[in-house]
Order: sequence, then structure tokens, then C-alpha cells
Amino acid sequence: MRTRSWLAHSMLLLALALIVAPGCAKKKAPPPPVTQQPPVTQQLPDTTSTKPPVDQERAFAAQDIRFDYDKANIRDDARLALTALGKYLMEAPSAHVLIEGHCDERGTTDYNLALGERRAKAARDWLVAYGIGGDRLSTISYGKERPLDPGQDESSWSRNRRAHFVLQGV
Amino acid sequence: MTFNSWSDRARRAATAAAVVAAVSWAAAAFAQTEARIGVEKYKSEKTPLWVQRTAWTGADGRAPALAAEAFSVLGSDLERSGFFKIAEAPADSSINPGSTLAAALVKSQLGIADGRVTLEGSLLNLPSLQVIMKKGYRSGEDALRRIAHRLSDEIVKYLTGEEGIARTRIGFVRRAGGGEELYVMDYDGFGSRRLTQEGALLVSPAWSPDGRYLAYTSYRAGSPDLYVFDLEDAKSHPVSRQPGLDAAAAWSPDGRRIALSLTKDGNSEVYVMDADGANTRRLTSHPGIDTSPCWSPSGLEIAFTSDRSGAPQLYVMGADGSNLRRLTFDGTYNDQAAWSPRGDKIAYSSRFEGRFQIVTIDASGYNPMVLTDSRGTNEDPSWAPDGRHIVYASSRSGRREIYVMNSDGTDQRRLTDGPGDSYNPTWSPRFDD
Repeated sequence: MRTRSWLAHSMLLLALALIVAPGCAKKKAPPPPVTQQPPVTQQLPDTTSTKPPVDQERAFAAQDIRFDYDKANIRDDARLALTALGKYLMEAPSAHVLIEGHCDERGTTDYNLALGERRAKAARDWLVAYGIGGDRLSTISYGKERPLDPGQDESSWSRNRRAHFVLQGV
Repeated sequence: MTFNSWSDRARRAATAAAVVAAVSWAAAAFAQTEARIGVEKYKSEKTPLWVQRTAWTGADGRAPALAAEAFSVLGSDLERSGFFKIAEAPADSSINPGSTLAAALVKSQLGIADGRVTLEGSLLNLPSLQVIMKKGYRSGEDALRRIAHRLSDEIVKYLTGEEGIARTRIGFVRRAGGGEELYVMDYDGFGSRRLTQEGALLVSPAWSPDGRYLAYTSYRAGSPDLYVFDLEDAKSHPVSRQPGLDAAAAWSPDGRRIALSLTKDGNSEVYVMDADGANTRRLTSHPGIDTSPCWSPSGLEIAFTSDRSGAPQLYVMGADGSNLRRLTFDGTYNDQAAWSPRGDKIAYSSRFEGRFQIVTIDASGYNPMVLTDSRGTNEDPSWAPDGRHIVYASSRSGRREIYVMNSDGTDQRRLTDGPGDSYNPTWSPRFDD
């Protein structure tokens, strides 16, 4: 039930993304990897079961985006999630976002702090270009110190090279 | 603590010279070694030294155990100095100076009086058995290790002319039970204790040159800011709370300035500020990441990491940001420069096939030498004040622990054994107590 509803959102947002996402004029966004990216819910304050559609919309809007190793450029496959977040923020003018930059473990403490900061700022820059006021977006880097997945293989590392979005004021 | 510091000033030149010559020869061999990156390691020649079990006097029942501890500390310290190959000497009754290649004999004696411990040590030339040095110390029972460390440092100084490191400590981060805290332990791994109750992410401690402060980055106020922990009042004080990162702090050799990485002007750049956080001056200006500064021992230069070439590499600039030069060219990820207190070498972390290894390179940029092997990942090098030892973090046991080694990569020893992960070590200056 939940998955189906979430998929419906995904398809809707994919359509939206193709219309409004900045930078999409060059080529079409690849299909969203919906099966590998379940919505993140554990960070959301005030989660209630009375209004699941809103929660799921928020959760979808706050999906992590991933990065290549030692890189901070926004990948094509991140645009769908960023577009969803941008749209959500457009419709929720009181919302703020804390953008966390994270790295995998294959780097040193301080360099990864700088790299995580750069990832968070790349996501911020994308959202500003989308039209979100910079005063609603703040950034913080956790470097390699707060991995999502403790595993030591490429699948874990790729999950850990991410920007994570914490919605506030909603 | 010294109650009778009767150093034997008449050094009996002829006999002592033989010992000193042997050690100098070992030091020369140390300096002349040639190595290629990746493969060769060299053996530093060590002077054989006899250490006799610590004798005890008096009727106090605790004396034998304390004497055993003193002997253990003394032997461990002399071994860890890196100069000596230690062998246990026979008791006086069966000693045969002609039967050993050892250059000298260390004797010690422990006593207990009025709740205080006395430790007397002497150094005897071999094969003459002439006493060439004598020292005595007194302390409370709980400080026996300290006076044994002190005696070891005196022996090292007498035999080699160099200051020992037995009275240094190592600060580090331990992540256990879900949170990180700042810890400190003696240089040999004993006496580990927690300093902070941060309750927030904490990284990259750096010991001040006077030994009083540990600078570190903490998220306690919600963002990564720079604090110093004052060992005198056991409290942390904020030093720099700029927007974005305040990270990778490094004290200038005179302790008056701190180099660090800030992102307040956009991306990560290297800055220098006064130790109280005032007068921040920017040294780098590049859209790439510039971070992890470290000072040359003269205070005139700063090495740092930059990915301006497309991947992290080490660079050196003047302490005012002038005269930039690239230091490393081998490899695709070189980071965490640590300049030897002797000035000649820079240690750093370099990635080989996905894992980091500790490497040293001449400050001129020549002669990179890999010190650790491929077991686990090895990061966070920090030099001992003698410039002969490096502490680092390694995951070779399955979790991150603190290790030390000689600066040629020999004698790699683990100092911590959990709980949790231990990393980001910083070696203290010498303490006189």
C-alpha cells in the first residue's frame, strides 16, 4: 500500500522533474532508482500516522542524493530528488533545510570534512539555482564520521557518499 | 622528585666513549639509508644493553611487586627508545661481563620508606663494570611509572646525547558507545583516561607546544567549531566559531598561532589566527579544497593538502602564504602532512589500492618511503618530539587502534586495545614532572 502510493508520487514527480528541473535541457534524466532508495523517515520530527500522504511527500522530498568518490558535483541521478525537494520547499514557504554532507570512510578525517562541506554546498547551490532562497538552506559537514552504512564495500560506500536533507520548520 | 641527583660528572672518558661511539655509529647508519618507495625498509642498528632486575630493600611486602613494575617500565622504555636491544642481565653473583656484547649494564634498586618509593638507578660500563652514571628519585607509590620513565630518559640522554620521550603522552579520539571523546594516555599506552564529556562529534585534536592545551573540533554547539581543552583547569574553551567548518587545527611551534581550515569564505581554505582566535588571516585562495595545515619546526613554512591538481596532494608554502610549491607527485591521494621536529622529513598518509599507508618524504620532496604495509588502513601520523618515532591510527586489527613505530617503519607496536575505535592521535611535548 505504502509502496504503491510512494511509487505514484515518484511517477508524478518524475514527470514534474522532466518539465521543471534546471539543467535537464541537455538530456533526459534517467529513470529514478525507486527500488533502491526507500524514503528516509527516521530524521523527521512530528511524524504522525494521521496524515500519511504529507509525511510521505516530505520523506520523498528529503531523499539522500549520492556522489562519486572524491567528487562533489551533482550527478544526473540526483536531479529527481533535488527537484522534489525544491518543489516541496516552493509549496512550504516556512520550511528550512539543513543539508548534511557525508563521505565514505576511504579518506582522512579533515579532508573528508572539507569534501562533505563541498557536497552540502553543491546541493545548496543547486536548490538556490532552482529558486529557493539561500536563507532557507543551511549546510553542515560530517565528513566520514557519521556513515549511514557501516559496511566496507562499494555498495555501502556509495550510500555513505551523500547529502542528507533535514527538513525544519514544517 | 629528585632527592639525590648525583650524576657522576667524571665520565671516565675512555670507557664511556666506546658506548657513545657505538650509538653514534647506529645513528649514522640510520641517516645514510637509501630506499625506494613501496618496497625497501632498512634496519636501524641497535646497541645491545643489559638491564638487571630491579633489586629491593626493606621489609615492606609491596616492594617485590613494585620492583618488578619498575624493571618492566625501565626495560620497556629503553626498548621503546629505539636505540637499544635489551637483554636481561644475570644477577650480580653470576655476572660475567666477558660473556656479552652489551655496551652497558643498567642496575636499579627500589625502596619504600614513609609511604614513599625511592628508585635508584646506575649505569655501568662493560666489561669494566665501572659506574658511569647514577640517579635517584622519590615519589608516591602511584607515580612509580613516572620516576622509572625519568630514569630511562636520563640513561638515554647519557648514552646517546638525545632527549628521551618516556615522559610524553598521546592525545587521541575514542569512539565507544556511540559517541566520541578526547582521551590521553602515556606514550607507552598506559594510564589512558578520558578528558572530555563532549556528547557531540569531536575530531582532530592537536597538542600545543607547551603541553597545556589540546585544540580540537567539536559539534557541541551544533556546528563544527574549534575549542581548546585546558589541561590545567580541565575545561574546554571556544576559540573559533566561524560559519561552516573550523577544522584541522595545528599550533605554530612557538604556540602563539594556530593554522586551520575554514569554509567561511566559500570552500575550504587554510588560515592562520592568533591562539586566542583573533586576527584571522587567509593563506590560500583556490576553488579546490585546501586543508590539513602543519608547521615546519622553524615556523617559517606550512605544509597542507590541496586537491587543486584534481586529487589531494601535499603542498608547502611560507607561513604568510607565499612561495607555494608542490611536495608530492606519486600517488593519487596524499594527505595529513606532519613535519618532523627535526625538520628533515614530512610524514603523511598516502593511498595505495584503496588503503592508506604512512609515508615519509624529505622536506625537499625527494625519497618517499612507505613505512606501513598493506594490513588495514593507516592514517593520522604525528611525530614524537624526538623526531624518531611516529604515532598513527591503523585498522589492521579490525578496528581502529593507536600504534607507534620508529620513523624508519620498524618496531610497530599497538598502544590501545579498545573499547571502540581509537584514532586521530597527537603526540605531546615532553613533560618535566
